[in-house]
Amino acid sequence: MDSFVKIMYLFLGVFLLYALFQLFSFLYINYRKIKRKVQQIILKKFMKKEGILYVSLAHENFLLHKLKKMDYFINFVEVTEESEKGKRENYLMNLKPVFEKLISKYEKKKISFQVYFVSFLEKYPIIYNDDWNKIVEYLIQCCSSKSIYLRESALSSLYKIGNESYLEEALRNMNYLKINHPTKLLTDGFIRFEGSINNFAEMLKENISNYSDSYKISCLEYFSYQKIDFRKGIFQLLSSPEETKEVKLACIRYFANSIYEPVSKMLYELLKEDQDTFEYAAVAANVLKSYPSKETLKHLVEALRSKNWYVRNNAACAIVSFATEKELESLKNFDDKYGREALMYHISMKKDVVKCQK
Amino acid sequence: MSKIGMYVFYGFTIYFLIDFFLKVLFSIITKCTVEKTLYQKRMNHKINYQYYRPVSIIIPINGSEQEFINCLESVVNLDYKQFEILLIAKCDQKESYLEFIEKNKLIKVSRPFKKVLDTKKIDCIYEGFYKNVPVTFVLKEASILPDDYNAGVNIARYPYILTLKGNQEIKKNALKEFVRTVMQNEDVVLCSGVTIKKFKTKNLFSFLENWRITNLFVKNTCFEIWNGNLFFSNSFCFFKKDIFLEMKGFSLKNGFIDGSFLARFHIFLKRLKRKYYIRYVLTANIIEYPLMGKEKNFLNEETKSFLLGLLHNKKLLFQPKYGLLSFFTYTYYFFFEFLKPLFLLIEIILVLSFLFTSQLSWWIVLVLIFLFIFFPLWSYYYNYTSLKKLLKERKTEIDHVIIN
Repeated sequence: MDSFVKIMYLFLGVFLLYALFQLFSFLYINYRKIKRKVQQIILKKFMKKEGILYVSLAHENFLLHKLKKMDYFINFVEVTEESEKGKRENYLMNLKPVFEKLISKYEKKKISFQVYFVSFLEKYPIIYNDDWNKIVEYLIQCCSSKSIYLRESALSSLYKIGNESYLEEALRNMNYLKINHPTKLLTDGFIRFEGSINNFAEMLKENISNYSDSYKISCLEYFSYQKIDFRKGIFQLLSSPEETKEVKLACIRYFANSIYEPVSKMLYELLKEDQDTFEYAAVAANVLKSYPSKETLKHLVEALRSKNWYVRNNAACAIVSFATEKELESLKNFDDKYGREALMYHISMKKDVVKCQK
Repeated sequence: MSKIGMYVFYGFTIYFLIDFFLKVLFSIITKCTVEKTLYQKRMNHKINYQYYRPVSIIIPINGSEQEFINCLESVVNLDYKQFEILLIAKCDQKESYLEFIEKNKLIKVSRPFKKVLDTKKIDCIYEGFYKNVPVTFVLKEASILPDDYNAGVNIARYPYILTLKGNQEIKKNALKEFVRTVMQNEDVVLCSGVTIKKFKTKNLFSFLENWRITNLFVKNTCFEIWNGNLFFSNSFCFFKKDIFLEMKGFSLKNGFIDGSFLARFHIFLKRLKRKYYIRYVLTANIIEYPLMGKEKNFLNEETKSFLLGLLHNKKLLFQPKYGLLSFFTYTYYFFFEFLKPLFLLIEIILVLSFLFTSQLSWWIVLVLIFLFIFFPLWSYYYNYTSLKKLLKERKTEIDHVIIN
């Protein structure tokens, strides 16, 4: 019975600790709320005092001391965001030495804090975009971080600066360290690059052969989107036996936007290869929309007999996109049931689109 | 006999004390996680993308347009833009949808699709747009919810699927949160978020349902730490289509809801020795409105599917190859959820019998009453406020009241 009573005491003790935890968490949360408001009031007063053209040394020292703490930094960001637009940028430009010194503190902090710091820098490239400086160096270093958020924020800052040599350096490091950044994010980032598109494309053309697959694919998608003429280079990549399937598929997709007649023969060949890997045939069928001719039609009709659903579907879609009414009429009695089904679906879709347009 | 009875009583009391300690631990972990999530939310640094991977949103619907229009509106207003909507309706109710089809100029098509999952027959497919979002309206033979989802997955065009229901409203940022999770880690195969149920009237059933949801929220938040979640709602899941097809979709054996699909995901992927994560995303939420007159069934269906799901995956019990998923999550659900009502009954009988024979002092009885009645209510209230806070802090993102 005694041991049972001890267990009961243990239970009451744990319950008491639970109640204390609730009380403590309640007090702590409210304390932080009050602290936050007080800090924001102090910051607002200080910012009002400071001039637009220069910031006093005392204020710099004050910020350097306070902004080391994450909570204070968050308050600082929130207060600056609330302030007037033109004044804010001038004020932040004057604080460049403070941010340069803060880097040594923030690079040792938790990843989530670093991300917040970098995303702040991303919002205001005006602080550091004049020349090569400590902040740019830090941003390039962040591009090789393990955290996708930190990498993406740092890369976004570099896109905003619009200097292709900074990105060249960052991509070289990322590629060397085998960092797997999502292809889609990279492509979208490249599109957001705010500098000269030609210079940036030239830089990518020079380096594409050194990159790993995911970077190559991003470059290819970027070339395709911006319609950058690199047809010979990409045709060579497509013909190379060393390249992987994903890279080759990206190469094929590139030729949908940039017409290159020599590639059509290769596409006809790929269209037949649907036994082991259907992807080449499916993508080739899709790209052949951009190469309308009688020969293309002949190969696409043959592809309608493919065992693979995707190949049939894409071939049907391509045929409908450029075939004449007569040609489509003759295909309505196509002998392959599944191929005919796919074709009829796309024909009906086309008719509906025409109806809607009318 | 009384000595043996006393030992049995001790054993069960210790069992309930362990349950109590675990509940305290879960409650503390949940509170800390919620506060951390809110703090990170303040540090609004996350990647903000409207387009990343295309998603097919499957919504089985029931009844007239009024029943699902709110759901459709909430989907159209999502802040992630790359998706298509698949509405799965029953062909015997076709007439009630005709107005919707005509109004939105949906066109009947003979769309070919790959029937990978075996489902009831699909009668016809309409395609068109609803407020510039591509919509596919599928009329199929009446069946249970998992079958509708399976049919939707067969027809879906995109590599990621989000399942919803006609009586739900999704929050504006929910899909973006799921896509972010996938973007952060490509090994994430499935995610779910927090479901809130909003009842028109407050009664015992609404209280019990909120109790169940809060408990599930607490456990999922904790089990998330070791990738060991076992129970997500069928109707709020975001997953990779290819893996879903490989594991043959939702099972129809468990009745109205498939409570075992998450366990099957774990078993399937562990067997293939693939690296995977199943995530519980606290910042993705939906509100569910129980259908009129079905409030009571609601509770039964969820509980039944939970119990069946647990029983269908008995092989997870004490299996070293499944790690903490087996030794903690499944064991916890089995011993502290499934068997608890039985143990509670035995404990109450024992306490009453010892009380009548004056073998228990009154203060121990008081402590036990506290343990069985007061503490669960207290911890429920505390956890419920955590859940409420998580949703309330973000009320700027939605237009309506979230919680009753």
